[in-house]
Amino acid sequence: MRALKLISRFYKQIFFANFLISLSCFYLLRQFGGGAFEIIGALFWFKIITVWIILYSTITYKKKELYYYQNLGVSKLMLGLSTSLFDFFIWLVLIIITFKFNDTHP
Amino acid sequence: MIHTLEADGIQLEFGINKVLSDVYLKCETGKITGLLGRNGQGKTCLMNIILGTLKASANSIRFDNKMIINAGKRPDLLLFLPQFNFIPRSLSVKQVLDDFLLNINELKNVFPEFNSRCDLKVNQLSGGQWRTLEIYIITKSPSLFAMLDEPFTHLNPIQIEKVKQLLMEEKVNKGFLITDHMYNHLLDVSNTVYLLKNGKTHLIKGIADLDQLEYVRL
Repeated sequence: MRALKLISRFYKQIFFANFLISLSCFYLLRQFGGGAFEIIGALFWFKIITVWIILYSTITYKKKELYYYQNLGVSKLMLGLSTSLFDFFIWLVLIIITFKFNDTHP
Repeated sequence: MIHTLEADGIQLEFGINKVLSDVYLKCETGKITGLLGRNGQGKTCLMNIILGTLKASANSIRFDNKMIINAGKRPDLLLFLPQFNFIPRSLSVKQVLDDFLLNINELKNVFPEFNSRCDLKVNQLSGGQWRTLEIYIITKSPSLFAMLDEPFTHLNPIQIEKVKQLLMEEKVNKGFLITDHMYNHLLDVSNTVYLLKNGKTHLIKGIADLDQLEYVRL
């Protein structure tokens, strides 16, 4: 439970930037409408690369604070992996919603 | 039961520069081990190797004679106070104590200056108070060992005395490995002292040894 609290606290620092990326994907898919399938591959890699860049820059900028999490049993790997997977999950949900929305409102 | 933390066989090079080559260090629960050395002799590197955050070309880190890699992932075994501030600046004193499951009133008893400051964020504390809080959480959190990198730096003389008293009280519960340039304070609290020079550790029996090894001039 404590680990979850610490991971969510770390995630708050990168949520806004990641959410903007996800929203931009949502916007592009809406713009492409019926042809959205054509750009899904590009958007997938766009999301993967931006998640990595945001995480890498946060870890570099906040590297001193990582000792705080480490002393509480949450490693850098655990922070990076859990926040990236969760963020990717949000992106995936947003993409599915967009496709469903495109189907019902072409 | 006495637990031991030993480090030896450590080889560390940066290019052609050999930083650590002949290190032996032993810490025991119930004792404070001091580590002295001039700047650039590899004290912090040695701590990072023990912690597992710096890879050495060879090393043997043992807890109770069992080899361990990445001890830093086991806060029940080893906690680390780095030489810089590590508490996220956006957290309040209360949040920090809550994270480490520590009692706020005990902090106030040891360091009364926190009486009116527990709701403040750590970046609103003075440098000395911020450092005191960091020392307090590492010292009081349950763990077999704790490594403190320059704990006395940035503290005023009264805070240093209180920290020394806290260390003496808490050594009953864990073993400490401490490095600091304030060697007088380190010698006061340490049961065993090593000097790191030219990549080797030397066991120090008194201040005369420090003079002989050219760490101080008496």
